[in-house]
Amino acid sequence: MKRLVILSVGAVVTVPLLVFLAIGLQHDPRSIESPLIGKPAPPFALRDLDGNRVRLEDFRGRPVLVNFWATWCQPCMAEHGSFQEASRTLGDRVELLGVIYQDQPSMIRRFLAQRGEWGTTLIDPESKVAIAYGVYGVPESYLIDGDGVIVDKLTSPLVTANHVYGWLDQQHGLLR
Amino acid sequence: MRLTLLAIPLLCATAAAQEPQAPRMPPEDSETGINAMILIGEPKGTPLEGAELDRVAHEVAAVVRCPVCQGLSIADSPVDQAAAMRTEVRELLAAGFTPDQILDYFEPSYGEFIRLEPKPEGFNLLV
Repeated sequence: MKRLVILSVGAVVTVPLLVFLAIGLQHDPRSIESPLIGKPAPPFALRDLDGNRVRLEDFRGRPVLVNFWATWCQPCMAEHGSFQEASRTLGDRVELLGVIYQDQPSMIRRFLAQRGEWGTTLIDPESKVAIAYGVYGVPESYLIDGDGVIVDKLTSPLVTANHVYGWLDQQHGLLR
Repeated sequence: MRLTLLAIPLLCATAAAQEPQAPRMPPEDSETGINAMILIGEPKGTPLEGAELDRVAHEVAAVVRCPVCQGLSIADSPVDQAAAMRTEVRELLAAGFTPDQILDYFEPSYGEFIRLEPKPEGFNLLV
């Protein structure tokens, strides 16, 4: 009888722990879903490299892809070509905004002069916009629909233009 | 003459009462357009400065998880992102936001994960 009680107590403690671990082990520990998905995108008004003020709300009515990047980020370099091609192909069907993450505007200017530009490049002093968007590192991309709602976040690089189209269109139907 | 002298302080008091209260913080950050009040409302505390600001800023930074080196608080993390978040904590405290409001400011962006000490409620309490 005593043995049965000990076994029962052991099972009550162990089984939920095993279930908890089994569920937890299925998740990538580095992948934490953004709580901002489905919520209004935090509004911002940043300056571009020429000092012009660019407000997120200026693009209401069409999708916006906000990409946080830096010249010291190797995966961001892989994305550069895909955003250039996507920018040429998509024109004004989508607004591409590149927000600089912890990098010097002089480095960005030199890099863009060599490799060419895509979309609008914005300076984020003190990383305030990155913090408001819950950025963990770069590259990170946020997709905002025409109503100003964040529909998705990617922490992996979009290494080809097809990845960009697929994310915008096949996954979220934002190019129709 | 005596009446005039009595009326002056009365007029001053009325003017002060009618003068709109200057906001303790601009509605949005002038460089980024980020507006903390959208998320956490009006500051509920007293603006801090000097040694008190240093002390409370360190206390708050010690319970905010660094998003980059996730085992450390932003007080202990050496990375730029943590430094930027420490600056934000100081600015919010100096504007009169309370430590709880500051945690509530970071949480919508990063989730409860940003708290090094989870809230003692619901499933957290059970664990």
